[in-house]
Amino acid sequence: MKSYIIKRILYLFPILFLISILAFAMSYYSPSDPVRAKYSRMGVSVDETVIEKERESLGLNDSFFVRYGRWLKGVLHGDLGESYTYGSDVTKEFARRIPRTMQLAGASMLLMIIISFPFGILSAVYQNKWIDYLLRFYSFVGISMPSFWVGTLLMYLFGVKLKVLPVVGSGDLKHLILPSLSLAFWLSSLYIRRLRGSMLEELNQDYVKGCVSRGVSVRRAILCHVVPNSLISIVTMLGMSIGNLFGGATIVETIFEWNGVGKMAVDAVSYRDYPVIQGYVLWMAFIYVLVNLLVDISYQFLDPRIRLGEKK
Amino acid sequence: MGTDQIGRCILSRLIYGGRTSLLIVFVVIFFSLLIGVGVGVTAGLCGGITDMLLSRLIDLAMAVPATVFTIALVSVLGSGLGHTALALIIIGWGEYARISRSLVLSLKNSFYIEEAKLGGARGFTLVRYYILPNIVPYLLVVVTQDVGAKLLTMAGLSLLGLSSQPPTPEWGFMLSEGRRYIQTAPWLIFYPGLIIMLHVMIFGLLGDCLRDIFDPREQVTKRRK
Repeated sequence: MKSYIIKRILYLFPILFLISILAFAMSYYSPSDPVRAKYSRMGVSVDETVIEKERESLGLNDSFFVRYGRWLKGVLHGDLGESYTYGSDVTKEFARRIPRTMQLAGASMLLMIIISFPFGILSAVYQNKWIDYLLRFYSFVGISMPSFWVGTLLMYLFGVKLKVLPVVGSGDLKHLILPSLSLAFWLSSLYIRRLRGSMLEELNQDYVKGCVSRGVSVRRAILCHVVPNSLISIVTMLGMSIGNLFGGATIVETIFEWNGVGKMAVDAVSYRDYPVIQGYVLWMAFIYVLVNLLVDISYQFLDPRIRLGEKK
Repeated sequence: MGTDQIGRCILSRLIYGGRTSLLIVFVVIFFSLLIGVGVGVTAGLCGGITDMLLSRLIDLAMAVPATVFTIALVSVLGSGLGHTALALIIIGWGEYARISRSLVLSLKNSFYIEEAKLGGARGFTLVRYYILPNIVPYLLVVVTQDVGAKLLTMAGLSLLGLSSQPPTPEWGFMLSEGRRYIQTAPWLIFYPGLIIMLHVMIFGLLGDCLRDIFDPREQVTKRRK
């Protein structure tokens, strides 16, 4: 068990290393130049020789690996460089915006769990009854609707027509409702479908029959045995959908002008603000890899078959 | 359906936009499939160290979220439909490769493959006449269901302004343009979104139908009923 966790953590390093090279190569091969970008931000035109001198003093003329080494050292010390557009420290900018994105992602996850768990269980227990058909229709529509479209429709309904919620902006709870709802709608339909599938699979297992024939009530058998077992496959899915969640959050953030990391990255693309994009790529890779690690480890705790299989 | 902010007919823009949106999705899927099946079948057949290396490569391609990679690539190459498509191909093949590899692995030890080998089928012949015909139906199901997902991703990316550039009509981009007029002209966002949703639904249903046709397990259970 312990050795498995250590192995998994060690396995992360080559992946993070490759991603860091990719992130650095992006700015290395980019046509824009930090020195020129700095002066054009300040609005002054300077002589070529001044630019060349400054490039030399910043070490921009060194080879790829020297520059990569210097950059990596900075990143490991928490220094992502200076943003071309904001002119401020990228790390500080991220520290300000990451909580925002986490808020959005957390709220949508919470909403998703609140919506999909009861409904997923209901849908499986009442298979082929009207409630199941209704929920299956809900999840089919939810999967097919683009989350940004749901977002704009919600925006129109609650913001423009009913005027109960603010249309765009970020900050308090009121601003959080619409963006997280539009993400949760899509996520929950995905999970209702999946939970229904894995519940049905479990319900057909012999142990359920065994439980019921031992005199355990059906409700108890479902809640105490079937649900925990079907949650195992949901946990794996949770890890896989984190990437999609943050990707979707990027789009939803842009629509609702939610000042998170995703919106910052999208804005940075149009200004070719490489330090910010590099930071974004590293941050996303880090989150993704970390969540998948946690999922793999929790899998070990949740499913005794895997744990025992290893001991043999 | 009315007209947009500068008086262009929305219906005709939706119809023309379909050409761009759907074509680009098919192009992305075609190339991802080509690379994916190539790598997957090679990995599954060769086994050993080739399989290990290719599997790591597949893992890597699948580990990167599509939106992030596209943002990174577009920031270097500049935005445009072609660049977004390229980004989606670079990471999209992983999924197909994983599936075709596992399909090949499940076929590899079956008797008819052994017999084909005994009959002298090697390399390309083996793949072309004995393996591909058996995995194509499954892949077709996967591909059809993936059209919807790719359509959503592409629309999302052009909504961010990373993909198509004006004045090309494209569904995601039309939605993003319409957003500015949400207060006065809500139909500008309603119809493009609706058409995307309908297409995702249609391809989803088509995929389900194909699965019912090709998956023998389902047929057996249905016959029993």
